[in-house]
Parts: sequence; C-alpha cells; structure tokens
Amino acid sequence: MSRVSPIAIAAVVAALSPGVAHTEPEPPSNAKPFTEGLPTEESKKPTPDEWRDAPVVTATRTGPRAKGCTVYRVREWIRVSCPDLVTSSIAVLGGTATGYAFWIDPQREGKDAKLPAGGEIQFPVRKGDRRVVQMLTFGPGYEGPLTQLPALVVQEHWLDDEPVPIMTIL
Amino acid sequence: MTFVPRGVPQHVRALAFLAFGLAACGDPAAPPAPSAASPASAGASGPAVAPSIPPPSTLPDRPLTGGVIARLGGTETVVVVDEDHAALHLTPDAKTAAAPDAFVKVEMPGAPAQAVAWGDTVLVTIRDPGLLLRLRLEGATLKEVGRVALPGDAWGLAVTRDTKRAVVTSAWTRKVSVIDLEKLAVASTLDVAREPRGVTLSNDGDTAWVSHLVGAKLTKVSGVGASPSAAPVTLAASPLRAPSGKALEAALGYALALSPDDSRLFVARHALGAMGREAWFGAPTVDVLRTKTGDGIAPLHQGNAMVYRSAVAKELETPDTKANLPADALSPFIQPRDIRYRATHQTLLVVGEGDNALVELDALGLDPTIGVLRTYVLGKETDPHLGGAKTCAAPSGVALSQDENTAYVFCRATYDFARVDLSGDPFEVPNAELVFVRLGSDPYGAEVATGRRLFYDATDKLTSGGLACAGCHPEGRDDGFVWHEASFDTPDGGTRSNFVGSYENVPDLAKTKGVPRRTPMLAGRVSANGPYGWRGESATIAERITAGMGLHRWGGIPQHAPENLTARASFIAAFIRRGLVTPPKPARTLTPDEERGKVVFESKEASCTLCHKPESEFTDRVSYPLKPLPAQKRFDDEPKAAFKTPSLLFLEGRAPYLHDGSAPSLERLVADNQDRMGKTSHLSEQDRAALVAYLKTL
Ligand code: HEC
Ligand code: HEC
Repeated sequence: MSRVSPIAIAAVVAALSPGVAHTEPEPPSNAKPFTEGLPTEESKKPTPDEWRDAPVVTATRTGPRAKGCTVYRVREWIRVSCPDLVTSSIAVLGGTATGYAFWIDPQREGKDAKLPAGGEIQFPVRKGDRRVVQMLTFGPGYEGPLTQLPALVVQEHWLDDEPVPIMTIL
Repeated sequence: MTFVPRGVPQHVRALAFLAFGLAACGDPAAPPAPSAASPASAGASGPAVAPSIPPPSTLPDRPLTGGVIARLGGTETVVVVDEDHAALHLTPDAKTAAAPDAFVKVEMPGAPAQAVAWGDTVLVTIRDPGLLLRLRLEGATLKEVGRVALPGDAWGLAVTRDTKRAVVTSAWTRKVSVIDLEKLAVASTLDVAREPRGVTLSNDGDTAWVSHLVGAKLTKVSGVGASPSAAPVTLAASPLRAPSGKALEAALGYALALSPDDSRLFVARHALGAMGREAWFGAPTVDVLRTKTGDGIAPLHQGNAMVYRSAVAKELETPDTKANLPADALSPFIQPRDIRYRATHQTLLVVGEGDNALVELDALGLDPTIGVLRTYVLGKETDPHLGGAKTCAAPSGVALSQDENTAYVFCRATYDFARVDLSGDPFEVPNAELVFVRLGSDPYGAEVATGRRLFYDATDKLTSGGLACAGCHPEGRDDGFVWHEASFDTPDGGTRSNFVGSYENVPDLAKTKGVPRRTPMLAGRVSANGPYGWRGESATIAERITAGMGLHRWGGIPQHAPENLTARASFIAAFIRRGLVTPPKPARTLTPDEERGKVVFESKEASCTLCHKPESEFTDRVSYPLKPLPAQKRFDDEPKAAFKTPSLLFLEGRAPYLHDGSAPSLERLVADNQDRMGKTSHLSEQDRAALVAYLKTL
C-alpha cells in the first residue's frame, strides 16, 4: 500500500465513486445464445478485424454484476468485454489453463493514467473445457480503499457427453 | 433413461427467460385446484379443513427425497418433522398457514428425522428406536398403518418413483437399508462409512447417492431395485478453494440433490482447510458430481494458474494477495443442512443452520457457491444480550411449493415454520414479508432453549469467528476431523492460539503447522465438572467453552466484558448437558466374546480401568505423559505433552481415535498400543479381538 503515491490512490478512489456512468448498452434483444451454430473444429484466434464485426451473444446465465459487459463470439472464440469495469486483475481460478488472452485498459480518455479501466477476457470454447476466470476490481475493504474485490466470475465448461457448453457470468 | 431428447441438457433448457435477470417466471406446473373443503375428523384439534388428498393411485413425478419438511405432491399439504418433540406437524395448506392452529400435531413413537409424502401416504424415519413408519392421511390427521424395524438412528429417506422401494440411512450405526414398501420389509442392509445422512435416488430408482456427516466421500448404492451394493465415491470438497493441488476433507454432509435429468449431483457441506481470507475453518460448499463418470466437475485450484495484473494491482500486491483464489464471500451460508433443486430456475436452495439463511445458488456453473443469486435472512429478533436470532434459529430443512415460487422452512432451534416468497427476479430478494409460525417451545425450558440457539448459531461474534459449536460438534457428536491448534500473529494484535483446518491456513511467517486436536464428541460425555480439553487444561465445562470461543476464530475475541462470555457459556453448558440427544444404545446382555473382553479390560495386567474408570464415564480425568505418538508431517511435534484420559463412552461410532486421530479403528488402536496405555502386548489374538468387541459396547 505504502508504495503507491497518495495522489494515485486519490485518483483511483475518485474514479470508483458513484457517478461513473455505464456507457455500454444492454445486449441487443436479437443477441443469440453463444452456443448457436458453435463450430466443433478448432480455429486460429480471430483477428482484430474479425472482432470488430463480431456479433453479440448471450451466456447461459448472466447476473447483475455483468451489467455493462458484452459477450462477442467469432467461430468458437468468446470475448467477454467489460469496458467500464475498473479492472485490477484477471485470474484463472482453475481448470483449462490454455487459450486465454486478457486485457486491462491502462487508461481511458480524460482519466488519470494510473487508473486501470476496462477488462476483457478471450478464450476458445471447446469440448472438454472447464474454465473458471475471475475479474477483480478495486474498492474499500480490509486492505484500505484499494482492496482487490470480486467483480465477476466467468465459468465455462463443455463436458464430453453434453451436446452444448454452459457459460455463466455471475 | 435419458431426458435429453432435443440436444440440450435438460438442466439448461428453459433458461432463455432468465438471461439478464428478467423477472418473468413461468408457472409451468400449476397446482390442481384444491378439493372442496370437507369437515375435520371428529376429535382432531387443528385446522377445520382436511388436506386435499389426491386419489391414492397418484405416483410422484420424480423419486422422493426426504427432509424435515415434506410436501404432498400436487397439494400444499405439508408435514413438518419435529425431532425434539417426537412429533409431526401437519398442515393442509402451507401456502396460507399463518398460526399454530393451522397445524395438527401427530405424536411419534420416537424422535423422527425425515419424511416423504405422496398420495395419501407419509413415510417417516425414527431415530431411536430405528424405524420406518408408514402413515396414512385420515381426515386432518395421520394414522400409522405399518412399521419396519431398522438399524438404530434411522435418518435419511428416499423413495423410488414407483413407490415400491425406500432407501434409509442409519447414521450412528453406519448402515443403509433398502426397504420393500409393498411387503413393508427390509430387502437389504449394507455397511457404509461413518454417519451416512442424506440420500437421494435416480429417476430409474436403481441408484441411490448417500452423503456423510464425516469425510469427503459419498456412497453410491447400485442395484436398489434388485440386489443392492454400496461403494464409496471420492468427491473433493471445494476444489477451487483448496490449497494448490490438494483434495480437501469435508464435514456436515447432511443433504444432497440431483438435477432432474440425474446428470449432476449437488452435495451441500463444509470443506475443511479451504483457503481464503481468514479462512481458519475452511468454507461451506456445494460440490458437484457428474454422475455418469463419478468425477467432481469443478477443477482443483492450482497455485501457479495465470494472473494478469494492472499496474496498480502490481504495486499494491502483498505476499497475502491471492488473486487466483475465489474472492467472493467465503461463507455464502454456514453449516448447510438441506439442499433442493429448483427445476423451474435451474437453481439450488440451501439452508444454513449457522447463519439462519436461505440462499439461492446457480446450478449451471462449475462451482455453485460462486454464483450466489440471492440470500434470505430468516433469523429475526437478534438477542441484544447474548446474540443469535430468537426467531427462526437453525433452519434445518427446506421444501418447495408445487409452483416452486414459495419455500417452506423449519427452524429447529426455535421450532418455527417459515414461509418464504421466491417469486420474481431470481437475483433480487422480493420484499414480501416472511411468515413465521411457532410450532412448539423448548421441551427443556428457557435456559436450555437459549443454549440451544447459541449452540447452532455462527452469527454472534463473541461465541465464535463464523462457525458454531454445531459446525464441529454436529448434533453434539463430532466431525471426525483433526484440527490444527496453532499460535500465530494476526493484525488485531498479539499472538493467539486459533484452530485452523489445514496448516496452509496459517500465515507463512508464523512457521508453524499447529498441534493435532481431534474433535471430541459431547453428547452424553459432558456431565462431569471437569477438567476438559485433551490436555485437561480447562478446570470446568464453562471454562472450556469460553476457551473455545477464543480458539474457534481468526485472531482475538472482539472487545467484550468477560461476563458476556460466561453468560453464554452457562446457557450452552445447560444445553449440551441436558438438550443433546445421545446416540441409540439398546440395552442388551454382552455376548460371550464381549464378556471375555470385559474381563481383559478390567484385568490387573491390562490395567485399563486404572485410568478409564467405569463408574465415571470411563475416565479419571487425569492427564498422563504417555509415550509420544509418531510425528505426522501435517502437524508440529508435541514431545512432552500429557493428555487427559478421555471418556470411552460411545466409542464405536466415532473413529478416528486418540488426540491426533492416528488410530483409524479400535482394532488398530489396540494392535498398535503395545504398552503405551496399560498393557496389551501380552494379549493373544483372541483376547485383543475380545477387548475390541467389548470397547464397542461402551
Ligand atoms: C472448529 C471446530 C470446533 C468448534 C467450532 C467448537 N469446537 Fe469444541 N472442540 C473442538 C476440538 C478440536 C476440541 C478438542 C480441543 C482440545 O481439547 O484441545 C473441542 C473440545 C470441546 C470440549 C471439551 C470436551 C472434552 O471432553 O474435553 C467441549 C466441552 C467443547 N469442545 C464444546 C464446544 C462448544 C460448546 C462449542 C461452541 C461454543 C464448541 N465446542 C465449538 C472443536 C470445535
Ligand atoms: C495411564 C492411564 C491410561 C491407561 C492405563 C489406559 N489408558 Fe486409554 N487413554 C489414556 C489417555 C491419556 C488417552 C488419550 C491418549 C492420546 O490421545 O494420545 C487414552 C485413550 C484411549 C482410547 C481412545 C479414546 C478416544 O476417544 O480417542 C482408547 C480406546 C483407550 N484409551 C483404551 C484403553 C485400553 C483398552 C486400555 C487398557 C489396555 C487403556 N486405554 C489404558 C489413558 C490411559
């Protein structure tokens, strides 16, 4: 804690306080379940261009903590994007260890450069998967104003004998 | 039998309407209209309306899983199982019952544990003497139509969908019985591990799953319909919170539930040694078994899993930051007592005895405890002086209404029936009022009543740091676990002795693993003045209980006046002496073999009775510096310690033995004793076997 300047802390705390509006729209009502038309062959991870045109999909279950996050799919690749979430870190909690890419936006226009903003998780959905990934944010807690707190957990799994995978964002 | 005809697992279907928390909840199974009111049978006190009984041919849609609350399919007729009053409480309409006179009390021949109901039939397990009772609804009450004698402490109950077979667990006597309900006779009795409790059946009625109060293993009973056999099934507890790569032990496996398509089995229990912030006692958990393969579906925590940190997180990181352990609440509920699958929503309902809560969890993900949808606080009227709830304390069972939009709960420490509105957005607690109906008062009076509440309560910050007495001494018995008593620094200042479930819970800096302390059983073994504790360090029971209040937490007891601890301890002592029920022990004469063992036990040469005095619970309560037991890697050594002679009452049912739990059975204890206590090295093979046989009768 002592290694971070008080100014930096103040900036982050200010950014965490209420009033930071969500800019992300709700998923379009025509968003399809992420399992629809899911290919079973493995493909290379999508290019940035492909992500730009990717359709929004829905997870099997989404909780209120994922408000402001959007799920995209290209072929079997999923991207959970939370552009307004002050993301402190992203961690694999267990299971399939490969195929991930994580992003944390180091800065956002008009904000202090210290402030991490927006987090994204990318992974492929494949048979045999068991993935649990946690996004953490900052907030007041037992380690002071910048305690790492749970923001949301993505759980995706596709058991061998089940026809479709399941993904919850809670 | 497959329930997956359309390429989508059944437990995933019907979820579309849940995405993004839409409030619209279907009512897929509207209850049939209640039959016209008919007059109550003559002489019965209670409701003026008879239960709406469906035609006797009505079979359940699914196998029945017993509980403390059982609803009659197709109706809102509910039976509440009230163990302490040896009675059932029957109400024709649990959806409207609002006062005690809506219930009829039906006396039972012993303490009942669980019930199931269908058609006009109610089945009930009786603990002591072990029985399965068959009752029939007659007018507004229940009449016995038959009974089956079972091994003592008959507890869990499940019935096949065709209602031809029942499976019953006998907790203390470690048996599972399969009962032919047409003949009302035992078809088969199987030996299983310690404390079998919850039992649930597959749709085809051929496989029963059994949870245990002690240990992480389940029991799978195959061939229920024809020739049953039992086998243990390994299911690691709370794998995502385990120390890296380690499979955790468990306790408190009172209940389990299958998904409607049988593909997943959900076991509510307590993971011992789980990791997390201040996780001295582990973590409550719902572990999910994939029934087809017999594997747990949640992956094991790996300490080296990938973590991506922001620049600020990197700067703030301390050695204690564990980003790849779940950061969500360690205890979404405490001391789970019952679990039900809510099929209309693909969620799980769990009641926590320790925090008086009903929680709704996601049933789709790998770890349901990470997906808490909503929490209902059922405990009300917090006692300002002693802590704990005075209404709805220690919920022990939950059942769903026909439409699954209402939950019925029974709170065993205050004898309250509770009705909970589950309708609406499953991520929001509706603000509908909870309804409570008190069904009785404590059979042992006010002092025991207070002690009873406190014994189950984990919310009072002075009594414990988040786990009640009943969390380690379930029903006054024991968790079969060896705790680590370790001394370490915490931020609240100073070095304290605390219990932890695994040495990984101790901060690395403390460089200690703690000494081993197996949980002792309390019921029927705490009448003496003292001393108490494995080392006899507490002169009286009250001193031991207050010492425990310091041990069972992380760090020190919050600021308090000492009399606040002693007041709690005296109520709790009254309860554990008078209110706890001892396991069944039918009076009988000893067999010749047991008689021979008694002679050995009382012989001068073996000298067991020198310390284990038969007239005082088989103990002299004196501490002796016995030869140290072999060191264990998981614990610190304790070379010079003297241990108090423990009582030998109720020995058979409470393995493992000795203060460090190093003797897995009495056979091993006697075989390995050499001459550590008394003398056994001179005994012949037969004398040893006879001695063990006698010890099992104590
Ligand atoms: C974390 C688990 C845990 C909890 C919670 C717990 N106990 Fe214990 N209890 C133990 C263990 C382990 C021992 C043995 C400790 C020792 O002797 O050093 C013990 C010992 C005792 C003893 C002494 C028994 C004897 O024969 O010497 C009594 C009495 C007791 N506990 C009562 C309680 C009561 C009352 C509570 C609630 C206020 C409670 N315990 C909560 C684990 C627990
Ligand atoms: C010198 C006193 C003494 C004598 C003599 C003695 N014991 Fe013990 N007994 C103890 C003590 C002390 C312990 C606890 C030791 C420990 O946990 O390390 C104990 C523990 C036990 C236990 C385990 C109880 C439990 O709850 O885990 C059994 C069983 C037992 N003794 C049986 C016997 C038998 C049989 C004999 C005679 C062959 C005998 N003891 C002789 C003092 C004695």
